[in-house]
Amino acid sequence: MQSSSGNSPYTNAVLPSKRKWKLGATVFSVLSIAGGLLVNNHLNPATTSTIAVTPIGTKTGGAAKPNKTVTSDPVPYQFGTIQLSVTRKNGKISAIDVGQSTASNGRDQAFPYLVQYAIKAQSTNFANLGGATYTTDAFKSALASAITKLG
Amino acid sequence: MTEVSHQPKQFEHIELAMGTGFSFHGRSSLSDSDTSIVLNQACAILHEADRIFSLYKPESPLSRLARGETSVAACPPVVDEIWNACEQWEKTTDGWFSAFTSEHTFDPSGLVKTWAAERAAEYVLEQGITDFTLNAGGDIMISDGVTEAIDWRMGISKPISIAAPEAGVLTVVDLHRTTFRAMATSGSAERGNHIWNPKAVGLAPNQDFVQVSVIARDLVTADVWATAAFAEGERAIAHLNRIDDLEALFVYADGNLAATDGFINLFAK
Repeated sequence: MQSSSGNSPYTNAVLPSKRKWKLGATVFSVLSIAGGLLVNNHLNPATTSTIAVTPIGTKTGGAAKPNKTVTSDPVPYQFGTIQLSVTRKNGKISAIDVGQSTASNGRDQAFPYLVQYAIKAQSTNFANLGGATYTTDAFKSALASAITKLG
Repeated sequence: MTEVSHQPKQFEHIELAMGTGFSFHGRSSLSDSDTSIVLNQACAILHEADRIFSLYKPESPLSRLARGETSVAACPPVVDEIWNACEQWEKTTDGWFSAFTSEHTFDPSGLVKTWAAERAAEYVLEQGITDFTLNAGGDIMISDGVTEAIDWRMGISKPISIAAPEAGVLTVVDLHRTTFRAMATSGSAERGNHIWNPKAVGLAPNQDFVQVSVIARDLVTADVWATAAFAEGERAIAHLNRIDDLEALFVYADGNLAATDGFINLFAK
């Protein structure tokens, strides 16, 4: 299903939105790349969430396609949901950004599910409360406050 | 009615020692008076450790050692034992736990509290009380013989002082049917930044996390790794994943969480 101009499928992926399935397919393949980059991001946290990519599109002949940025549907994966936005500039993909909400960088990507588990466990009762070593004073006031709550 | 001594009876003992609160809680088949004697003896172990190791007491052997007024050899033998343990832990943690300060003094405070708590708990076990938990100022150990489901579950505080009005429970873990018996938490919520960076003299510790909770088979191991991981920062996630029999939950300053791979199995259900 490659286009007759022999371009990389990635170029097709950012064609107008009626060919959404291709965008989906690209997002899927980009995911594996992004996954690797995310792991790298996690190990070597970057200050920006933009992943710079080497332009992989080529000139497609005829009129240059307009510069634009498209955003993928949210795609679920192992650690949550990922949403990518792909920017085309001068006929080439100039950037793939890991999208806003749940996917701002590697770390946020990897661990949102933990917060959900943690919150779910919150309401379970327990015998002991752990935390950073409290001082005698903190301990006493927490104790006093707990006793007050007992009524 | 006369056989009450064989009927396990709930007990709770709170002791202020080493600048924090220790709470023993469980069930004992001993008579009330024997239970009370055992717990008082156990707490004597805590006070004795404080007498030797407190750097807040100017006349403690450790304060005198820090001022260069005495030698390890002249101190009670337990000082040498703790010194060796600290050296060993420094190696084990690749230098991220260190009891040797940038001023080249020996400050084993990070180890002594949980070390003493373990000794106290061992004493309680030896005296025949086997069904209890010990909360050592926020670091918790569970005895093998715990019989009530609730005692296997431990809350983890949000990374703010327990005395703060917005204090609360971040999450709850359940150690039932695991080999884990202890949890220790390091953070800046209670005592400010008291952890130094052993790898960069004079520099603050890594600021990636506001709190790290480590779950291990014993309390000292949990405590040491919690301190080390807090100092190491984000790379500790991968580091602790490589260590057997440890799980950890990391809290970032923005409230996000990270954890070792197996931690997810420990959340209470």
